[in-house]
Amino acid sequence: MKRILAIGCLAGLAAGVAAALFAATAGRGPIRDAIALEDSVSHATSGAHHEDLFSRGVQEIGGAVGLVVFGLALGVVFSVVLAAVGPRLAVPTPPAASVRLGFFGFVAVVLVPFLKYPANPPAVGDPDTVNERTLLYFAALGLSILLTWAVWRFHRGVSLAPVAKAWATAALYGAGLVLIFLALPGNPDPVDAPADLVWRFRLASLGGLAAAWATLALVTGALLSRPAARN
Amino acid sequence: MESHALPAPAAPAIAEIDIPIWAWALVALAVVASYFVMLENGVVLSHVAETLHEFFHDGRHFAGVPCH
Repeated sequence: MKRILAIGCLAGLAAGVAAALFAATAGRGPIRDAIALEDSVSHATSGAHHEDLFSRGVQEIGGAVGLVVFGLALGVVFSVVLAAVGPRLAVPTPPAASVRLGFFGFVAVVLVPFLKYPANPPAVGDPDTVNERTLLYFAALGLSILLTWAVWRFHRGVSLAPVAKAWATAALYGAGLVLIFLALPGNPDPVDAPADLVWRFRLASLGGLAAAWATLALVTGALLSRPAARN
Repeated sequence: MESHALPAPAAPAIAEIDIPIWAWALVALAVVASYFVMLENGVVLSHVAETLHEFFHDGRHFAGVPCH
């Protein structure tokens, strides 16, 4: 247990660094443009200068620190879940188990919530609705994880011919996704930033999260495949 | 998706172990830490949250979590 947890921490740190590097390169331009836009809009409407708590440089460092801390936390969760569900994954080797969990984890934890509530750059977002949006985001995340777990249980538990089972599993997951997308209300905020800015930001965000999850799964798999000195 | 073309492995890829309770406690701690880094807007910490929020601001946007 301690070994897999230590591996998860290392891989999580690596994933956080990957996300931070992605943010510092692909994400930096769109975030700067969005904040410049935000400042020009607030100047035009209120005339008052918005006093920033932190400078741009400090926020960029803070953002990187946040992503690394978040990566570490993700690594801890990932390794314990891998230890718990790994024995029940139909794969031949530990790296294969890690990559499989990483793939389904990315889809459940990142991709599905992202498709329902896509990431927005700093110029978008009404402070008055932030608690409501956080709650909706939690709901999407929770329902997505729950759906993935339920479909996985179905796939393991049901006895059908392989082809029928694959279709039934896919249909169940698809129906669950449609229900989640219909049941949850849309983002209450208007997205009035330029579409190309929003698009560049979303691509960078999704790319960074994909890089983080790929790093997490691959580093965990690589470290697990080394012979264990002790468990 | 289980692969039916391959013979079932003799032993599971990851050995079956009991997950000690402290490992789950660590998971809970990690989730709470993520909450403070990524999602806290003042529900729990009120105005201290603003400082945290602004410090981690870029990372929050980049990770796609709701932000002001």
